[in-house]
Amino acid sequence: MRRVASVLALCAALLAAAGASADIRDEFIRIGESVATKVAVDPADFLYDIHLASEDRTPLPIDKDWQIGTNIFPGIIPFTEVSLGVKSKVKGEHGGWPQIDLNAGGWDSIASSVVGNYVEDFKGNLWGLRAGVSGSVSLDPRLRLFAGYEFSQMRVDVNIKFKDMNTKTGLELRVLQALSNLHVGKTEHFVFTGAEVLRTARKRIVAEVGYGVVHNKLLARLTWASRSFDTGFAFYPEGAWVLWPIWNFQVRF
Amino acid sequence: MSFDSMTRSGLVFVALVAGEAVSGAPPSPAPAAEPAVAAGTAAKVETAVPSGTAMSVPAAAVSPSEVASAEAAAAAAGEEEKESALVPFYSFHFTEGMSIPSIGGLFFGNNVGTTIGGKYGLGPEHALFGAYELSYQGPGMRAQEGHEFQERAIDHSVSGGHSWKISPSLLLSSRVQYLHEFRRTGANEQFGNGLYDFWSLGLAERVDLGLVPGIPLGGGLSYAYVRFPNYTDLLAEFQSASLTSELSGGAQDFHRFRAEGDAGFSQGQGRAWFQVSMLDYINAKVVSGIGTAGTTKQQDFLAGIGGSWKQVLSKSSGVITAEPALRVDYKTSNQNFVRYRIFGDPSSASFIQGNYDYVAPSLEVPVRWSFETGQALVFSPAYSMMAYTKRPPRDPVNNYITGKRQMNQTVALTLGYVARLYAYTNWTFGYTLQIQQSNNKFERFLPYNYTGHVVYTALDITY
Repeated sequence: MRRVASVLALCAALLAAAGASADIRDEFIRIGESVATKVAVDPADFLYDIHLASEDRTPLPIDKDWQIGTNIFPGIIPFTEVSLGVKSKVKGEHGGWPQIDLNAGGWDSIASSVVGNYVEDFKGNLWGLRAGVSGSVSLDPRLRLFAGYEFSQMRVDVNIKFKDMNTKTGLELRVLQALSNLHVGKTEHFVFTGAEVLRTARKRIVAEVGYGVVHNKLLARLTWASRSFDTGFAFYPEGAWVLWPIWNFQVRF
Repeated sequence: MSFDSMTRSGLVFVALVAGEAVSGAPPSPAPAAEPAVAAGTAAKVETAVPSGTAMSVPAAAVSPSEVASAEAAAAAAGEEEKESALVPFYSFHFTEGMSIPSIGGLFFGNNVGTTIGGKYGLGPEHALFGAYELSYQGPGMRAQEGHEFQERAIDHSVSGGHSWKISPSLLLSSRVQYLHEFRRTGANEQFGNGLYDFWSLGLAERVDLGLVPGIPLGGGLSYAYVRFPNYTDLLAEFQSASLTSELSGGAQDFHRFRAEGDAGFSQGQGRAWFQVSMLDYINAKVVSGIGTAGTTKQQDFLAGIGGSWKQVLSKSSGVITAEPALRVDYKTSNQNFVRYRIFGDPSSASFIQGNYDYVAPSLEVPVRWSFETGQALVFSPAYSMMAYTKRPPRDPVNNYITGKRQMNQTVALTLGYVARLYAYTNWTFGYTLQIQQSNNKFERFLPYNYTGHVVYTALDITY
């Protein structure tokens, strides 16, 4: 983890140095506007990326049979998406046959439910669910490969009455219009494969690449897994926001 | 361009087959670094020429490590083979980079790729192998011309085959490969509906000979059918809209025939290779004049020759190795080109015969300083040139400059640091300076003259 922190510090220093130039700052502003435009044009894809961040397809450790967990970031913080994921080992690796895990989970947006009860101008319902199966085999005492399939679905229904929207123009207007009457959903069938490398007896790094066959959705994910908390990054190369930090909490037994 | 990913497919192929290397022959990297290994398209072949310096986001510093990883995997496969009939191969690659070109805006780009494959021994003489690769190549600065910075592609590649060790010094390998590429050339395209999406199905036969110890020889023949299901000639459709809306469909489809050979020498230190290809277009007709389509079908001929030498420079503090590689590519086509300054207006048109013919030499000298801890420093200067033999350059307002020939030059300097994080896991940081110059000054659609800076980081897991 110390190395990861060093890497992040180095990246931050580079970006800070880059940001020292006014031209570069303008470039980042332009990139920000580009991101906002992508969100306005295809809000479902942006929201689906957050949904995907709450998923966990990594195989269970060989000495654990169950896992119950939740995504803290970017689920609960800042999007108030409270998730619950369950993973179960159906069969351990034995005699050349892979370990088989089943996983399922879902989330619901607390903010949309709570705010909708108190604010007349807001009605919202956001939820997601998933279920999948994976198989994993050990190639080495320090390395396992895994692959699997996952069904993944998200639904967002939001109605917001923005005040003074008629006075807005340009990008701001497009974003408000996109959010004022949003009824979108995505259903995807993912196939994925990845590798788990043991760092210590309890810590792992897990790399995976997934491909959604319905929307040609590509994702990559790096997870530094430990006993209770997993940290990592999710990459959505074609997403409005490409890089999402991830922080999960789980109990394995 | 997905050529990089196709090259990686080649690496996997080599890694899987190398366990079957003929006796007396070190694992031959011959086909690995060449586009000959996988099926390709005319565009691929054309743009693949300066591959040695193709930088995009995963800069040249990554390539030597990838090659080294594949070779290591091959060696491991050979050892593992004694214990197990199944020898798996896996790789994961991720690169994130920030590009700052002198024209256009700053942008971020990333590449993602994973490969899973294996070889299954059927006894001492026969083996089956197969691999699947998924790769994404995001925005990046491409060497030479022909691409926007924001192009991106997703490739699915499946290959499988059989190797037969006929004698201790003779290995015969057969392979079938399917490749499907989704391409986005602009923001208005969705993956799956791209104009330049294509799929290809190919067959390849390769023979490796180990007649002389330390001098492996190899050669092969391959065929691929390449189809562009969405491609169409928009101008022809516009002009013939009353007849049929898809009059010019399939104009990019072609058959590709290829022959290649390679030789290693000095116990694997040196290597030389050649390849020749012919692209036989199924529907595309040669443009014989302004507004005139001839009856002859398009045919492209490509040839390449190259060599490399790996030299250990020092072992006093770590190991410093240099591996210079030189290649020369040549292309000639019977296809010509008509440039319309005003869409559809023949009076504004210019006819350029032999527009696509070129000679393209390139030189790359990667130097790697490796330490026992697994860390390494990489410095990789690269130069490539694309000299068109008949195409004149254009001025800034799209007028051809007669009496001259277009020439593009690219210099790429890459400095990288590779850290060994965990078992099988490397993390790379790098910087690339790319200088591209051309006497073609018409850059309304594609960049030709610019200086670019790329800062990138990459993670690789290879087994």
